Amino acid sequence: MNSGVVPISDLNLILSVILVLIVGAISASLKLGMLKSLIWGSIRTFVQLFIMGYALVWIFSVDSPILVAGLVILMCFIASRTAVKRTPNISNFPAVLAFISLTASTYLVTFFVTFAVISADRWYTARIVIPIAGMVLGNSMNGLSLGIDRLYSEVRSRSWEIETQLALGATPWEAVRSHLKEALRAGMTPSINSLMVVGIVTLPGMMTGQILAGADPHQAVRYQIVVMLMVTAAAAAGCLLLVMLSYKRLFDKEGALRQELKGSGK
Amino acid sequence: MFNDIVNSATELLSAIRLSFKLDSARLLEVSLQVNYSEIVILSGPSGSGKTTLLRTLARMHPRIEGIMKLEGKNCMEIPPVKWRRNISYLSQYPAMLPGTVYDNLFYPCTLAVSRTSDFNKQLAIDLMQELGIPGEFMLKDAAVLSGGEQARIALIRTLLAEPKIILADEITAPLDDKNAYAVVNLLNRWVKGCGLSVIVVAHSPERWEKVIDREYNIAEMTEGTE
Repeated sequence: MNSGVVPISDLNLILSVILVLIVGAISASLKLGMLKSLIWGSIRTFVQLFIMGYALVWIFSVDSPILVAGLVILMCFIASRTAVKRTPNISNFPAVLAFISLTASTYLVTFFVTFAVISADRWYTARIVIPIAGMVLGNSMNGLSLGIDRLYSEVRSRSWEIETQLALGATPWEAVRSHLKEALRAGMTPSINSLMVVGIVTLPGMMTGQILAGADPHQAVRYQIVVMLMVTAAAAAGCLLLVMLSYKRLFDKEGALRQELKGSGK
Repeated sequence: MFNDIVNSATELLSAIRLSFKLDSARLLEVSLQVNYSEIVILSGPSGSGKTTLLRTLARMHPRIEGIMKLEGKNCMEIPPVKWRRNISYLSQYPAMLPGTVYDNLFYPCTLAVSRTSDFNKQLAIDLMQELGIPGEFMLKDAAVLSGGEQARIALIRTLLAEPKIILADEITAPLDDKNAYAVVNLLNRWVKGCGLSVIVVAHSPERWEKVIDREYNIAEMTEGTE
């Protein structure tokens, strides 16, 4: 089935740059101020992905459990730092909490899929674990950012309501429970939306890539279903863990809402 | 000696050299005592720290130093949640929780700290009527009530939580005279009949003057501590 692979030569690859050049020309003529970012972004894409390609070839050939586990942890570390940077409603959120949540959910889902669904012989089969962890992380990272950001924005906008509940004797958990639900919903919405429209509105990148690389579309679809479900599960698990780990940070040691989260009044 | 015994028997809440930050530049230190069944008014100019003092007493604002005691028991021995249930801060902007008036009044019974989940609906209706809100409002969405109605429902919600002290922060501010006096009279009746105590902050102290037992002026209490 792989006989259907259409290789992309160096020349073909350079031709794809024409698309970016057209967008760059439009940007320059309309003075959108995006030309520099566009060129820089394109160069980074080439460099990062080529490096990744060579790295993957080496990692796949070594196939060491320490290397695979270490690389997944490094990916989690970078993803957690990125996740907390994308939270406009929070300042100084500890990346370590995002790291714990992402690492736990990524490991849980990746190894479940590797073992139970794909039935790999070894848990550290780099060719399977690395791409799966990458897809899981890419999506749960966004879910986590959205979830935690929503939690803080909800609490800020409804601080008066939370304080009223605390004044009546509610525990911090009782006072923010409904807002935690909102945060989880926000974190999971992109994954659930993807589940709703996949195959109708969107053809996911992984499946498209497999088909372009000559794989049987039926198998590509099966893999994509697994990926969609695991990504949703990872986003839910990561978001739930992060929200549970971080909600107490909204309160001081007396269980009162922190000063900086209080709104300016009704 | 005899006076000491009497004081400790009647003392409900005491704060000894309680200090808290009013803002980044001002630190206040106060001492006060509230006895069973009394209404104490806290007076002082705007921005002098009355609201922050009430919130500190409710353990909703960080205290820097000092001791607070409830019925002779140090606040460090009482979990904050239980403390706040007993010393309930009632804001001039009480929030209505999502749901109906009934949901709001029932809310204190749903909390883990609640001694009982029995909701005295008849008492709630009686209190609503006493404060000029028809009993049928029970099934109304709380969000659509006027500011004055919300303030009265919030007071009833706090009374139904059965605190020992209510820290009433400008609670009659959104009310007209008639409803304000209904609130004052209701609270006075609970103070005299049920052993409740109230610390009041009010911009219109004349509404309270007939029921006040004592007055603390925050400017005098905090003299020299800023």
